[in-house]
Amino acid sequence: MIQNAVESLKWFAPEAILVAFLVLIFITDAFLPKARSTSLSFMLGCLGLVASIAATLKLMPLAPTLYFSGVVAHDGLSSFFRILAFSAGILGLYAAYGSKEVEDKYRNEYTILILCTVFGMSLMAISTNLIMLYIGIETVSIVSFALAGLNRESLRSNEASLKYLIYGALSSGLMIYGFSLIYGVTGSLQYDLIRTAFMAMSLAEPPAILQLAILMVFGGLAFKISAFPMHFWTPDVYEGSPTPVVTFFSVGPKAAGMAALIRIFLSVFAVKGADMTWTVMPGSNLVLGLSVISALTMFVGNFSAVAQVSVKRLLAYSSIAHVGYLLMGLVALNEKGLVAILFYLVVYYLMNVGAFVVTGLVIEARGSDDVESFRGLGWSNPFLGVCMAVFLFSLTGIPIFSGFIGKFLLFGSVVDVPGLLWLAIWGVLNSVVSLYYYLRIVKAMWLDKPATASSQALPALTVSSYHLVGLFLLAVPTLVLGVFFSPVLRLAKASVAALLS
Amino acid sequence: MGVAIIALSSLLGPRNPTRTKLTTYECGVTPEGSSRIPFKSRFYLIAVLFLLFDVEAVFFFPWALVYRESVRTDGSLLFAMLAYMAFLVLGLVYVYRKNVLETDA
Repeated sequence: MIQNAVESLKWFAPEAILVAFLVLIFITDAFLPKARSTSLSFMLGCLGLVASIAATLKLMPLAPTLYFSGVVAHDGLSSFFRILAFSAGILGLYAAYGSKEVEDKYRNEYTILILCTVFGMSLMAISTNLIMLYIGIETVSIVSFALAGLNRESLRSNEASLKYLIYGALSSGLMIYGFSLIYGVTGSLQYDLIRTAFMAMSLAEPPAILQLAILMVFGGLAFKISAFPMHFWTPDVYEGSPTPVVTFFSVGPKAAGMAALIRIFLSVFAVKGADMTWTVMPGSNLVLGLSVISALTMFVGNFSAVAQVSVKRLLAYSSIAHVGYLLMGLVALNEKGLVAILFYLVVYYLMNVGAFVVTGLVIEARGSDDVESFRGLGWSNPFLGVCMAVFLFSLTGIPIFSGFIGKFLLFGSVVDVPGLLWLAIWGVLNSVVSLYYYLRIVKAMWLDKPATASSQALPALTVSSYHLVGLFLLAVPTLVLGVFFSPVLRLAKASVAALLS
Repeated sequence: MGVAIIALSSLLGPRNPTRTKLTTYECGVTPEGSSRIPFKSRFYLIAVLFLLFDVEAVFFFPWALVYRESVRTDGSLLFAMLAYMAFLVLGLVYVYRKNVLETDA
């Protein structure tokens, strides 16, 4: 463990670089006229995120260690989730460029807020201390509230922001109360010390207060990843916020929340057992609880999505369902499950961002995100239609698309675990349900011909070459990872290796 | 015991409410009108900024206490605080450039 703050800075380089660029953008925004500063700040933002990824890659081969007196960790998991966090930032900036939903006068603020959120996300991913985790989560949350309300004149955007703020305040209040109870029981905020304290206690019957604390902590984290029963903010916030912001919300903070959940679950409440598995604290019912949450999250997400007319709401519910699938990897409590989560997150990034970007383009051109607005898109804009179909099929998990491999890995990880087979079957059944609502969009795009009567014709949709390239770059890996997935799988395996050794 | 005292005092205590006694600030300025009036959002901004800089200044006190001790061993604490102050100043410059501090805007 590195105690010295100056020595620790070397390990903190990715975040430090990000903050340096953030400062540059602040200065740009403050001193240059708006017309010139917007593109400059956008470029600085992208450059900063790329530089942070480069710094992460440089740190990656180094041996795992704790630094800043043990509040943050460097290991494969932190590198992996740092890269995910920085990529989410790049995708967020990509989605906003040229989008009319982000007003020009708020573009600098958008870049700044995205970079701040990314900073918080990477803190969430690397923290091994409850206070540090809380700071990370709050950095993400508070900035997210502002991002959701970015269009100040739009009533919907304000509503989204306010809802997010109120639910967020409730959940983070719950969580920090849980932290304080854990601190009261164990006398430490440090993950490894908390676990040692747990082990020292007789855990055959954990004190009731500990059960309450665990419930509260998981409640707070469930809000961040929008798992049942803390999911209800998701559709409202996604519907009201500008689409680029939603694109970012749907992947970035979720991945960071998963990272925090994995760390807390495996290094606080579980003990490493033999042959790459963990055993959870006896008597805490954590596995049962989480598997029920996973099952209900899938159920609520998928069945609510069926009835949606607005595609943004539909995708919001589908993202809830995907969190349900992701949680399966966690309750499996084995290496396969973890690897599956990491792999699925990569795939989920590609397909979900792609689907939201296409939706954003449709909203911009046609002013609505109803399924009806997608009518005939495949005939009028074949490229857009094909891309969207690829993303949607992948989200469903149809073979040869990468979503299938991701789901296969996730379901496969719980099949071997005694007593969890029902969850795998439940997951497969839920995927069938999801096929229905994803296909509704595909049907609207390809099977319904564009209306010929001029009175019903939808406004034409032109796609800039910027988005052609962007969507191509998202769609190709979505396809390729369904066939040639071993490099990502190897990376995921290497990333969880430190947790297992 | 506590409940008994409260119950007894409310039962036995003399009560003589007057209009003045029931006002929010019994011995202050007489309140006028409703407090639910629209006020300039600028006050809100100033309040937020004050809170921000005021709370951040709290970190200087523990730093000042340990500074003498730490400076003997290594000087990193000075630079840490300088970096922190630089961020604060940057925030102030940003706020200034964005015309938040103008009172008549």
